[in-house]
Amino acid sequence: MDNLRIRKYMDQLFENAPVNRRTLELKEELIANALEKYNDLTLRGYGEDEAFQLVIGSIGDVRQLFAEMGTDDDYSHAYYLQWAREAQEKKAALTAVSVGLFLLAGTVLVVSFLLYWYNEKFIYINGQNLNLLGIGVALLICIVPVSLLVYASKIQPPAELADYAARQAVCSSESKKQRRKRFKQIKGSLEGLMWILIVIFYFIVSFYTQAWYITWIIFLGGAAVECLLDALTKIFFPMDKE
Amino acid sequence: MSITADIIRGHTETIILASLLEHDSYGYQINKDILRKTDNRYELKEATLYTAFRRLEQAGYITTYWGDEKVGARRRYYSITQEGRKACEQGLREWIEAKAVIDRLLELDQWEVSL
Repeated sequence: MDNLRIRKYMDQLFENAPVNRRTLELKEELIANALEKYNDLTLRGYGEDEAFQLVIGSIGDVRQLFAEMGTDDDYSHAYYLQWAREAQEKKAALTAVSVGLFLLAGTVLVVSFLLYWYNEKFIYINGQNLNLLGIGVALLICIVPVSLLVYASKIQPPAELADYAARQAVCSSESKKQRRKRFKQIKGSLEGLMWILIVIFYFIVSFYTQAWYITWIIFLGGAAVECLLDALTKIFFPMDKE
Repeated sequence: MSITADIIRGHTETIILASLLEHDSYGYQINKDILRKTDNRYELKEATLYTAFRRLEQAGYITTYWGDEKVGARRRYYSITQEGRKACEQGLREWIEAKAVIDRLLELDQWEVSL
């Protein structure tokens, strides 16, 4: 029985075919007919190699069929679009929740610092250092959005769509380049805005608390935030090298 | 030889429709019939055959269904529709006309040559 050899040959033949119901059915049809022909030939006394060669020799160029299969009412394409839309919505929701949690963490952090500067000493409640507690809580809160963003970046198309999605990604590489350029511009202007806000924040805090000897630490904090955002964008929007 | 192969290929769709007039059939069966009727001299390439199946299906001349083979791969059967029968008749008429024209042209040639 040489079923495996014929099946393997068909697998190769369909390797670059569009992934959809119609090509899968064509493959099944071709395999059924090829196997029957092969069995007939071996029954009529042909050797296994000879029969195999005759079977694959009569197939011809199946790729001309694939060309027609990739067009109208493409099952795979509709499925991919649906998946892409759902993935997009999911990512947007995860991002929104993450941003919210980052803002919460930031608020807790800022309030903790402000309370310290305002009182010029740590605040204790029931023997607990409230300021340090605030910083700790803020850091703990940050774990959740970071996890969410990492998860969002790992959303992959389902297995039966992986091939199609990969090809789709290659096809759209041109618009990807443009997206990347626009993305860099937006990122640049957002970073500029952030530093302006940090400088304003530094002066407000410094004039208000008169604690010039320590308020420079705000810039360190700003740099840390920038590094964090940079890392997050790299995780969330992975840019492949040219 | 190659002229006959070309003519057969040129009439793939009518040949398929004609072979479905009596009973439903599937790809290999249709090709086997062609082989038998031509004393094992001609068959269609699978790619040609299945391209024609898709075209005929889109035109509404044939419909398709899967066999319920218990062992091995399922066969994909085709059956001819009412429109398909009409198209087959039309194809046949066109062939009779073409044949008559070629006959006449070749006879004329022969006549001139023999003059």
